[in-house]
Amino acid sequence: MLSSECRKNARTARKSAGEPMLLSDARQGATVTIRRVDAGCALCVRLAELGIYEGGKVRVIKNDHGPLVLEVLGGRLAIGRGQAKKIEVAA
Amino acid sequence: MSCHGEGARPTSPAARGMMRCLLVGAPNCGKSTLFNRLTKGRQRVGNWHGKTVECKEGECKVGGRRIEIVDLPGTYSMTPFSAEERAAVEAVQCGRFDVVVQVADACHLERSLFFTLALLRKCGRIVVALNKDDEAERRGIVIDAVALERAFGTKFVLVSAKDGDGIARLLSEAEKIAEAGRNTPSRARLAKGKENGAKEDHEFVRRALVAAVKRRGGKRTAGMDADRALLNPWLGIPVFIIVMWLVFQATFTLSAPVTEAIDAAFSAAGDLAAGALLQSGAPPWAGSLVQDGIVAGVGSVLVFAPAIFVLFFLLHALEDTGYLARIAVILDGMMGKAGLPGRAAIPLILGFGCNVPAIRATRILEAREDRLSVMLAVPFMSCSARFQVFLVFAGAFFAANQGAALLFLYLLGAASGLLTAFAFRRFALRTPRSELALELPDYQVPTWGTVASQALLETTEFAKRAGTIILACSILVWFLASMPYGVGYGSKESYAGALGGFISPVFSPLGFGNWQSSISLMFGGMAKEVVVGAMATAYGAGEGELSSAISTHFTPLSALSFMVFVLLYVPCIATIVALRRESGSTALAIGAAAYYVLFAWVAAFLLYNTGLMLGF
Repeated sequence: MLSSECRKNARTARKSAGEPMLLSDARQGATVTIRRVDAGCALCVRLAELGIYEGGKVRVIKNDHGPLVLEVLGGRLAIGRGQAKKIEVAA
Repeated sequence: MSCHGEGARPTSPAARGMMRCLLVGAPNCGKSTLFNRLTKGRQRVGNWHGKTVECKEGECKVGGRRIEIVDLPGTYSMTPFSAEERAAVEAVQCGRFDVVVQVADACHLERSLFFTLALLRKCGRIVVALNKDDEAERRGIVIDAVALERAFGTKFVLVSAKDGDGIARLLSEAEKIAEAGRNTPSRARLAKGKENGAKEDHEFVRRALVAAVKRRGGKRTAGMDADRALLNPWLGIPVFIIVMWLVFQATFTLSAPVTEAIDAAFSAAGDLAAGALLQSGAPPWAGSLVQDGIVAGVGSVLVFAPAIFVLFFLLHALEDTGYLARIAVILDGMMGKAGLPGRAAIPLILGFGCNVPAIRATRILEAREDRLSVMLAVPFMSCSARFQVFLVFAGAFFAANQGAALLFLYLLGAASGLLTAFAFRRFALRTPRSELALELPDYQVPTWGTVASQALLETTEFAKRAGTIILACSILVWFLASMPYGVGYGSKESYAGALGGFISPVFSPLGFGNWQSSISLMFGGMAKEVVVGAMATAYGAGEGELSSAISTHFTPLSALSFMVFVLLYVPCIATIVALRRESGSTALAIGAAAYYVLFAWVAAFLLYNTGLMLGF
């Protein structure tokens, strides 16, 4: 798939540049730790309530096209790609 | 809703002999099922937050004491994002209640307890109902309620709303807390915690969970992996189309026999009543008023009821299964192009059947901005009543390529609707589309009793509230069509006919400036089903003669122009009433009606004059 190819390139590019990985680039099936949520106050609180907060762990169920599906706090969560781009994670 | 601040209750619940209890909780936690269980299905719709947010109210009796129960809109948190969530949060902050019952999903305890913390900071009279206890047990989750009580300093009761287990204990604990009417001990400590210290809160919750929850086997449910398939675009969209097709078919075919029976019963009742009135010596106009005005008006409301019931039964069932939330994900990209959330596809598609239940179905959208945009778009979706008009006209003028003509009209309607939603969102609301952040509930079998009682509530609410306005309009139309006294119903001499003649010049630039078209369009504003009938009356054409009558009065181009106008102008008075009801704004409904007529006129004008220029 072209899009996953692109993402892989973006991932390696960012890694080599020493930049943090974004949730939107995370591999399908990977478990990642949230490093930073780069969003406004309201959105940060909202995401924290849904289980996305600094230090929290999420598993990426689906990340191919459109919204991402995550496993958070034992339940499933769908979030838009735009939001996922604001979330820095570590493997 | 006025707000008096917490603790403003003048008397204890025992002194008043009744107590007021709020149900709060996330969507999908089984709140409605618990509410239904507590009130035994007897409930009504109340309004909070002006008229835009509805919540359900009901009552139950325990040992002679009345307990008033309010089912607040579902909310994930105490930091509201939508009007619904805001209403729920304000209700809790106002303090006009004796006790709050937080309904928590025992299978997803971590998220629910995070909300418990936020709730405890705002209000101290809380009982937590750990719902779906049976399901949690099945998954090997064993919860120690006492350990949770120690950690949070508030009561936790294990219940199963589905079977009714633990309900009696929940009510008695709620009563105890309402009676004491005071904050729980550890609340002070909780309140000290940093308001936005999400990490600390989650750690607190995790520590509490370690102490209170034992997992035996901890098997993941098989259903969860269905997401890989259902959310895959290649499989997800075909499955969605099949599901929608089934819902669509069921709504309009299952309800059809009942709808026809109601229709037949009302026309028989009309005949009977008119006959009885004439025999008793009443003037003929009285018989006509009863038959064509009142009975037909009531009938025109009730014919929608079966479809609304079936539709809402299915939608609530779909929501309960967890599939509705998935639709939002599958269609997010596609609907996003029109600035709408994924779920907006549902009311829009239902609009092709009937706009009235479709407008009500906008309730499945969470944000008010989304609901408004979609409900304005729905009336452009060509409903089955318009189809009847198209059949007659397309049959008379486009017999060779009827299918193409119909397809053109349906696509034109859909495009106009999406364009309207997009423009409204962009220029009137000026709010960007909120990005998706949505919990995907576990797949499960719906609780049929709750589903049925919710659908019944929606149906009776519709009949009650829309009914009065539709009836009034029906009587007005009757008056215009049969006055002055003695003229033929809907003839040129009636007020309606005169009005038709008066406004017909408006339609001249569209190619159908005769009084017969105008009068049928006027009646068509009442209901599209009557366009053909009214036109037949106006042309004095009998059954089957209408085709030849219109062939002499229309050209193929003006017929197409007429169909475009019928497609786009006010669908029917019931739709406008539903719009007013769902938006909570009379101005918006009237503005929308004016917009539809103007839009239809411009579209038909462009089509007709372009056609003339091209030499058709």
